[in-house]
Amino acid sequence: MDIRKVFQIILHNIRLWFADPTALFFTLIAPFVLTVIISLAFSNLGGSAAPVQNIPTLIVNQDQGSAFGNFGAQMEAIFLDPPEGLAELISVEALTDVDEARQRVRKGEARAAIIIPPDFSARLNAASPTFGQQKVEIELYRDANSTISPQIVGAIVRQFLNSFTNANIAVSAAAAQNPLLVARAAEIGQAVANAEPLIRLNVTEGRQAQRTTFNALQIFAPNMSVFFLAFAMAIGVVQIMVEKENGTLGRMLATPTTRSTILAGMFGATYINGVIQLTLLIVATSLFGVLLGTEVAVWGTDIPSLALLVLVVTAAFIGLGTIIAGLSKDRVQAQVLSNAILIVLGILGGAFFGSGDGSPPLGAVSYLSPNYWGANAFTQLAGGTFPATHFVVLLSMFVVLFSVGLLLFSRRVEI
Amino acid sequence: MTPLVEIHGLKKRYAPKNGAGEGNLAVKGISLSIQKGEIFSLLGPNGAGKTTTISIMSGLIAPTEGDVIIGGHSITKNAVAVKKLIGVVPQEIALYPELSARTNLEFFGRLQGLGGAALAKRCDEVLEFIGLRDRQRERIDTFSGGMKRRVNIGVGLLHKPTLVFMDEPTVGVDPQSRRSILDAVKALNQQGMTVLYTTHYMEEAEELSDRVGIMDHGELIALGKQIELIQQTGVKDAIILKLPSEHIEAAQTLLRALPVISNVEVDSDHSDKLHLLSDRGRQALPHVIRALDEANMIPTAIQISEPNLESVFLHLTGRALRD
Repeated sequence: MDIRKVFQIILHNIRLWFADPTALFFTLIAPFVLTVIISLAFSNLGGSAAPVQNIPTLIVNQDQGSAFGNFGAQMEAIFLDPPEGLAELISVEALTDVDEARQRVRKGEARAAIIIPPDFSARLNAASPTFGQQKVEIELYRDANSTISPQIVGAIVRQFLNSFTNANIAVSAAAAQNPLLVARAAEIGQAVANAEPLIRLNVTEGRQAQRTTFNALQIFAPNMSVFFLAFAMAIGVVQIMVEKENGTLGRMLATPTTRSTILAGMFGATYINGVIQLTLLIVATSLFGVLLGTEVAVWGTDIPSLALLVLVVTAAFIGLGTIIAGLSKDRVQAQVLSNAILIVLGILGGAFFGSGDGSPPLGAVSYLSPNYWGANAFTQLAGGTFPATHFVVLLSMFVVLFSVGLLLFSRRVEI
Repeated sequence: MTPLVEIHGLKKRYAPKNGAGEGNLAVKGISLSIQKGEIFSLLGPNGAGKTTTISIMSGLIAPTEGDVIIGGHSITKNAVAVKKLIGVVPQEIALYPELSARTNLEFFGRLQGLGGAALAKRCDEVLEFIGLRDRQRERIDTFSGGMKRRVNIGVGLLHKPTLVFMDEPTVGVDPQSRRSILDAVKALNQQGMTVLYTTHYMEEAEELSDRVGIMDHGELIALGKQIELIQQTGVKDAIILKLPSEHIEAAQTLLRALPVISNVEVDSDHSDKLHLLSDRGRQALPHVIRALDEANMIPTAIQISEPNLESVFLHLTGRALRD
């Protein structure tokens, strides 16, 4: 196989794609517009409410206090009864169990949890001989799949800590009015003044989170994108039959170029077209999600896994397109057959009525549809879990469908 | 001298359409050779097997039996080596209509192995040759049928092939474009290119060919130089005379006596016409005119009909070429 010629054929086909405005419209603009329309129809994304408000936040105060007071309780009180301006931004619930708080963040029920350690006040005891030697950590456990909201919560906590640290400790020390400390007032004042910021914010992420609920864009963006990807891949394979009918395939075969090189170039071009289409739709719907102020990233934040899924989902659908073309007598039959099959598979996969919890929309029968496996894989990834099962199923679909399809297809077009 | 092309017992049976039966035997064991530098025409009606033969020679389809050797390479064993020697001009316009003439040339040129400055130079030369250099950046779908045909030919010439296959390149073109294409074929041949030309237009084969192979129903039914084929048929030249009706009988008697005339008959449809048969019609004509003049019989119309490839095909098959 001549790799240089494979790339030349791929580039040539991509050039043909961009030379046809109709193809561009149906592969890029139409899927995006329909995704947006359907997502809007099934959600309140287009409402007039502020883009970000009432960010669900948890606070777990484990602080056991000290002789100078309970700084953890002070902090908890500020978050539970926030000053004007913050009140609309966050909605804080107090919990006592750290594990429960983390679990709820992982499930997507809260965007972040503020966890105050048991020795928070004790370590801030300015009268202690060890004062200033040990930092105090407040943990911000954030939803890995959310981008904006956890950052907002983190900024509020940092702002609180910055104003709280040294000044508050000094005030607290003085307020304690402990006679024993009067003699040490100068020493304590010096220690507080010299101390570096004592409280450190430790941000951790719920990376293994298993989200159980998704917003409409997270459901419909993958569903519609995968639905249109299926058509693009089928059209791409049928295009090889069109080239045979137009004589350009024969003309290529009459050059000193092997059949495997030509096939690799043509299928490679179709594959790359699919990857480009899916990538552009991901970018477009993600930006659309940001514009609408969605709480979570539409396609998740795990970019490497997302890229891997784009590759395997596109491969599965090129396999499907190949077997449809292989089963068809000619181009016209391939077009009719692919339209019928892909619409049915789209419906089975939930292209038009995805389930809000990411489960198979039509029960077990949905498992027959590569659309379900493809779209649901993206939704699962957006929810924070790498869809390993989906990945294996999609890869297997590609191997089986493409191998059998290529065999049938090669016979059909005598290449 | 070793021929450039040798075809040995070439057969092609297509798969049956409905999976039953044997399938159509499109080429029934043809053998021929083509010398370097000649224009060889495969003449025959539609469905004779010409395109199938060229498709096998181009490596597009595999033969059922037999082989084609081009430049010493077997198409069944070393197709890539053969394809480096050949240029193919298919019957249909095999171009990308949404791309420009130059982009089409560049794409197929790259598949031929050209690149960089060499490709650019050849594209310029070919565009000059086909007369479209000033419109090279325009999309193919804006071109006339004749212009598309010219680009279609140009693509087949990019890599300066030793042998070019032209499969009915004048189908569906206007007379002016046809003339241009035929002149181009002659020009290519003068540059040293060997041409295999298929057509069902007898006039084109007659004008272009050094040798002709006549195909019908997948068989090569005649092969040779035009003059040899015509002589093989035994068909004589015909001189058709139109005379006043009262002179017909006397003229018939008078002309039968001439040694250069082998037969004289009155036209079955027109009683004022005489059909004279001769081995050499043009040389016999002065003798005929002189004899009639001496007898004061002046023909009102004279026509000479010489046997051609159409006559050869008719003689061999009992059908006209365009039936």
